[in-house]
Amino acid sequence: MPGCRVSETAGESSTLMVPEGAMRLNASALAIVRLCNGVRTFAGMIASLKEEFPGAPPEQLESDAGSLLEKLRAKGVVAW
Amino acid sequence: MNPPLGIIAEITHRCPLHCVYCSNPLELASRKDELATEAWLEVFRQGAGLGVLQLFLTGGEPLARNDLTQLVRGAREHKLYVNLITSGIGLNAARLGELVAAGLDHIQLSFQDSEAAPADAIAGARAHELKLALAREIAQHEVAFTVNIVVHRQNLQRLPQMIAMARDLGASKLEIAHVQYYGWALRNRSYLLPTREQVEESRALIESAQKRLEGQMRIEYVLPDYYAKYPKACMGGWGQKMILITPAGKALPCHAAEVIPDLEFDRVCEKPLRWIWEESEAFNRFRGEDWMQEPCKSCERRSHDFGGCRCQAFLLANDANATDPVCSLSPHKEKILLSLAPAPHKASVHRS
Repeated sequence: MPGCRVSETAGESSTLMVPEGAMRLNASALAIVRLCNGVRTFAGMIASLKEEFPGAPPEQLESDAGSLLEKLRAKGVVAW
Repeated sequence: MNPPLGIIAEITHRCPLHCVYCSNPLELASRKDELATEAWLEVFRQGAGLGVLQLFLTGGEPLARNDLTQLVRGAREHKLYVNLITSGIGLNAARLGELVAAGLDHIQLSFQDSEAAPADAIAGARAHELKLALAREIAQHEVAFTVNIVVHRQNLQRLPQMIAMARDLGASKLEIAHVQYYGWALRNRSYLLPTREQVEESRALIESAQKRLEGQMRIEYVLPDYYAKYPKACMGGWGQKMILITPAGKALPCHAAEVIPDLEFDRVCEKPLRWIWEESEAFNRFRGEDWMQEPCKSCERRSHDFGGCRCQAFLLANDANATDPVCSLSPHKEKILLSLAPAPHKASVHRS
């Protein structure tokens, strides 16, 4: 959504900047946010995440991505 | 000590509107006292160094300064997230494009009502139609867009129309905020304070709109604390989250703090921002819990609402250390309840 951007500082965790707020992102959260491009489906995201994190159990990826996206939707960062 | 999350930069007190509930102090800083561009950029640089993430450019009307684009660009260079809080007066398509190109992240546009006549009456200026035209421009840009509407006794009945208006204008967020009774608003309190029925009705209406518009437009609702059982956690705690800089460069823990007597506020041109935040007397006076009296001192809610608002305690109980008088546990609550009794209709006074 407009007004939402990721701020990356070398050597530190990334920060998702949103209107009047901010949220620290760890590596997997950053990967999930990076995949939100307005057209990619949830299934498409999971497929990409599986490639990026081959060691992680697929169910784990799905539930992590699902709960993060719900949280971001409530904050008005993503929409579907 | 945690760094402040945000800097509220009141870059000017100049404003084309004269709202009857203006939150700026009764005594305004004049143009000649305003910090220069370089001084503001230095504040942003120091703030970013302190760990600040968010910048709120406000006023007065920030558009009254012709270096606004430069301030936005400078703030972005220091990696701040830049919010502009504006009435929109002074903005046109070209200037909006410039601000967005300079890196403006979020515009919060204020409206006074959903209808032109009562909106312009509150603002003391013909502004509503201009704002509508501007909102349609903003929606065309890659910038977060919030509509803010201040509500009170005279306009609460149009809450459904206000929600429809914000939706129609393409806002991603609508902020409905009740008047807070400081400064000019306190002077006009009997004109503005809603009835309990109005407040209850509006709360139910907002809740159903929030459900209905989920995923389309977020609605934030700030309730009037006079009707609350417990006080608001003012500013997220004194000296905990925010640092406000006045047009002349005084650093305050909240916008009304200057009403508290015997409190000296340091200036950003004289002291480093870090020292002001961490060491200054003003920012430490009500930090933590040592200053509290009963009933706050032993109250289990003291870590939630920090005793409420210090300025309101001074304004209504004449003691900045007192429990916020809107709290049901305050010995002054009676006074608040009396002010809620239906008042004879009084005319409002526009801010000068």
